[in-house]
Amino acid sequence: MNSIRQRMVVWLALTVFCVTATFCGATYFFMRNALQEDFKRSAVEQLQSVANAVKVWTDGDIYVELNSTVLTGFAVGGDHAFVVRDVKERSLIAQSNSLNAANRTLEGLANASIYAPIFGVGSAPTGSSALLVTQIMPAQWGWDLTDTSVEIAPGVRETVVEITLAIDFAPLHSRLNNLGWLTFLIAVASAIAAALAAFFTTRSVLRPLRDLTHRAEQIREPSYSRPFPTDGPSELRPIAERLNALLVRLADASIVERRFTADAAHELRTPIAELRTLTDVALRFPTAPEQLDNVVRSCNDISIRLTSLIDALLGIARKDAMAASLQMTSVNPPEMLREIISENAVQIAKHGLTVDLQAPQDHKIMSDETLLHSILNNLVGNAICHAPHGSAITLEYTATQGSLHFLVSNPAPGLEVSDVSRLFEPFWRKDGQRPNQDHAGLGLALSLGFADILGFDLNARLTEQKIFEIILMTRETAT
Amino acid sequence: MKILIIEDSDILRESLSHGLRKTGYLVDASRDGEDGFWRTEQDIYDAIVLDLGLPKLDGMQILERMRAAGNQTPVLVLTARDTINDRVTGLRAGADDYLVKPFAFDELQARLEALLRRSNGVACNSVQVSGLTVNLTARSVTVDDAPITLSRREYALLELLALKVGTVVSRPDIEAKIYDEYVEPNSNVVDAAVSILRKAIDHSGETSRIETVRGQGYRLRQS
Repeated sequence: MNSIRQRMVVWLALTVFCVTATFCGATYFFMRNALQEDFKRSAVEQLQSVANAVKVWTDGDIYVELNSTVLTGFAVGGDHAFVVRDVKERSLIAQSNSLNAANRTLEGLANASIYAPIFGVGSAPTGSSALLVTQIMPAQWGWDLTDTSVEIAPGVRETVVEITLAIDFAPLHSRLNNLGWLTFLIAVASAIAAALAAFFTTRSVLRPLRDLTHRAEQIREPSYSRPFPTDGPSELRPIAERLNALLVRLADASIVERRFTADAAHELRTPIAELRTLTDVALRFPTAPEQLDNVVRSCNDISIRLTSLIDALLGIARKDAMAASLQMTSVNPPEMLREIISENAVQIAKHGLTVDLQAPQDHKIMSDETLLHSILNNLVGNAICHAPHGSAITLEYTATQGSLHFLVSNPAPGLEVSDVSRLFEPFWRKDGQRPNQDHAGLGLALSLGFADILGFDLNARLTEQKIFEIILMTRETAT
Repeated sequence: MKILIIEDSDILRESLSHGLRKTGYLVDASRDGEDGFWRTEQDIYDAIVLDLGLPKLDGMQILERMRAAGNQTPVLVLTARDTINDRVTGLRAGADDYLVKPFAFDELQARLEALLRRSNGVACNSVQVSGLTVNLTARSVTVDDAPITLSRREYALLELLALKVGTVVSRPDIEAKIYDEYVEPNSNVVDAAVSILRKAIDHSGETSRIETVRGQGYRLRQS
């Protein structure tokens, strides 16, 4: 059950039902006891009524003055019965008409006392189960003290009677049965009400979440518009705010991706257009062999530039795959730098540049040789390409324990501080200038990606003196 | 017809210039936006082939400045940006046509021809004037159904007059449109070119198809 709504409905319904069922069960037992107690109290009251009707005369005669027309339960066919016995004589004094009619009698309960009635189970006059109540009662004397003329036979004062009452359980059982059904119906109704309440409560509670989901489903590229409302429940507000922040980042990433794709398409289309126009024109207007030779050379140049561009694009695309296949070996960056400077000697001379390398003879670190060489080559190559003619490039390599700190600085009079943050964007060029054959505008983007893979930070800054500095350093030493 | 190409890719610019010259156009070329815009102010062109991504001054800015200055020269935008938004933006900025890189040279040529025809109020690809037919696509000429051969410059002169048939074309206009920047124009050269053209398209003893309007220029007679 993966649905929050289903879980909430089930758990809420179960909880409400359990609470209601517990309440109903407790109420049932409380009411049952109350009814039983009430039944017993009623029996005691009946017993007292019978006791009041028992008369002991001064001469020792005992009889029961019970009016069956009032206490109809004791009449013929009634479901009540009583028996009054002389305790001393163990003789029957009187019994109810209901017993007489049924030709039955009742035996008192053993252990009856004069202090309180005792209860038991027996048979009603109708033969069904009944509550038996027995109590022993002494004759109530006292009026002879106020009337001294009264003569009381000896032993009469000590007259003790045992009164036993039988009251049919049927009314109690009927009421208990009704109580049971009522409780059951309340429990069923509670279950249905609990389910409905759980359903509607859950629906109401989850409405903001449903709205959030609906809004999320409507999010479409490329704009990632329609932000999530933040005026909902306080529990969802942080989620909405985080999602909105995520949307902004997604939109930014989408813009960067679209720009990258558009730029990549643009950069690929241009050399292809050159190739096609060059060959179209050459085929349409056949020229002399020496001119054809120029066409072929141009085609070759374009193919080299295209290869370089595609390699750079693939490098960016495969960055993640490269991270998984690093070959960490002991490498010597100062030696690499000397090789790179040597490889670029022609370009350095062509631009009239001076390159000052400040680095120890050897410094070994663990890194991927290919990626590190690519980074250093890009950084040095960029400086050579963009430094003004006749200017000086400084390469400062600081050796520390197992880590690297490399600074490239060169004058950049045409660069603005606002340009620095865009330098790492693929294809970004100052003034939208087209790349030359060696620089597709991807070098710094690629270097940044490779540096990240190797655990380096790559940062750029422009000093007030318009000196462009780019720093590569091991991430642990970053401050 | 004189075309200005503003394109920063050396190979593309030179290939287009070469191809269009071979086709018979006079071609000037610029490699950046500033120089290109300067040329549009200094010279009169029949059409401009304009790249959008240019250094110094963006192609879109050139278009806007040209139109703001009242320059109505037809502009064919040439760019690698191919989204609908890019096309709409380019056309709304004043471009007359839009061609996405890479493209076939033939398509560029056909679009240029269509632009030139439209800008001169000609709907079809040929102009017929009393037995003289100038096919603007094939760049061929027939007189009374007989094909004649003209040099590149003579054809350019005839095409210029044919596209403005019945209208006087001034000598400076002719100089600007049939001579490129490397030729020093002078009126004798124009007169000589008109004279050669007359010999090629006129019948001896009949009134010339090209009328000289004294002090103004030349006009191709309608009938």
